[in-house]
Amino acid sequence: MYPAPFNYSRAATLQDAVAALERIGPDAKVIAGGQTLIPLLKLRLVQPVHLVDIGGIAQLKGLCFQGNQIVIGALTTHAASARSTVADSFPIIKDCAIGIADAQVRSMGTVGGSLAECDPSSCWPTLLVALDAKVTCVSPRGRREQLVRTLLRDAYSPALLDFELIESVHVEASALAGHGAFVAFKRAAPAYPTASAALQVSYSGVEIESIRLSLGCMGSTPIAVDAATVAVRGEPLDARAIAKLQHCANEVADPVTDNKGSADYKRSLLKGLIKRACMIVEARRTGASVPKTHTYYG
Amino acid sequence: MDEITPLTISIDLNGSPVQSTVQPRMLLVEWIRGVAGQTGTHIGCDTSYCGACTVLLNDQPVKSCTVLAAQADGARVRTVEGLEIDGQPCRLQQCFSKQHALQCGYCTPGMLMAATALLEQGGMVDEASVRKALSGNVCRCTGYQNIVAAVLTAAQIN
Repeated sequence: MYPAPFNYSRAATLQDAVAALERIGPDAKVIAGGQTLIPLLKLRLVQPVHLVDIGGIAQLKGLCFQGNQIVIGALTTHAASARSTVADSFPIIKDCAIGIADAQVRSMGTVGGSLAECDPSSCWPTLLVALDAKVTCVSPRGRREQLVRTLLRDAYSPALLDFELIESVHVEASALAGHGAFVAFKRAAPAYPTASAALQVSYSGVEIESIRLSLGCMGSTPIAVDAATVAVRGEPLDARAIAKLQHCANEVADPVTDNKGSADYKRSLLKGLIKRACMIVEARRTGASVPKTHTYYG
Repeated sequence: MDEITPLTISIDLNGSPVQSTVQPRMLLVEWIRGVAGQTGTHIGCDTSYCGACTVLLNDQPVKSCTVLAAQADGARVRTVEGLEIDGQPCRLQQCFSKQHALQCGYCTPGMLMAATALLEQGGMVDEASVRKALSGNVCRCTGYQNIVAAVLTAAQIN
């Protein structure tokens, strides 16, 4: 048994979990799917004295429509997200969920865990920044909403209060108007992407009305390319518009050199990913055959 | 350090309930091999990469080196020992045997369980979906061709 010893309890509700975390203090940790936490426990990079397991809270599992919003329970697994009817309606969600790690990790890993981990390479954060999603969080002081962009303030440092947990994610259905794609370059399935991008395009006829674009692995948090809409509004999504989007993305990208590649290499991947995302979106709009969203090159 | 309180957990392993008292930090793969004594599930990398320890947890494939035994309390776990039907290898195992889908065999229990999950999902099975379903399982011998071929054959028989 590699992890340092800890005590373990299960919470029946998120409020119970928050209360348990407050009672035990800062040396307690919460476990959802555990797909990031358990490897860290095994390496003893984290050594909590107590784990509060929220994995059994059924009310926080699943995606559904509520009015004009899509609500994703924090404990919805990547696999359940990929299988959902919501993902059937919105391919960008399916692309994102089915591209995460491998089948085994997708069975356990959760949307809320992915956000709370706040890894700059992680896929849900990149998607949810593009879609301007909000999260509902619960702490001993009550419930509050914040933008995913606000939550992801820095790498591995979510803007969560003491003993605060993510309850659900909310996406306005209007953010999913048009056609979208989530694309990634990965060394191998179980690895985090080397570069990724989420693109959702709403059209007026064949012309672009608005662009939602965000970049993963290109900085300490996912980066929203907010200048994209102004750059290409009213144009068809053709080679000229793609070049403008590549330029906008390159302007705000700030990749670092690491063991996955140099900063320049990641910028070149980004250029290709933007083009690929645009081609997939256009293929989906016209009903043409869709290129692969994920490339494994290891 | 606080006193550690052991947990009493009950897991349905290959159709038989197994109750045991374990440390909270015990991994599911350690429970399967060490407590339940079913050593068909292998430990490969122990870093959640290679998939040799893949088992089905409530019919979903998981890496049992990256699940706590406590998380599986009350769940159904299936391992390679549970694939046999009346003491005979199941179709998938027979296809692995006939098509030489293994060499050293170390990754095979994990491959079989990941492939079982795919076949049980009931969707369309083609080469791309097999490779996708096995992308969390590493084989250092075969080059994967015969593993993919065996799963495709089993899917046709199904």
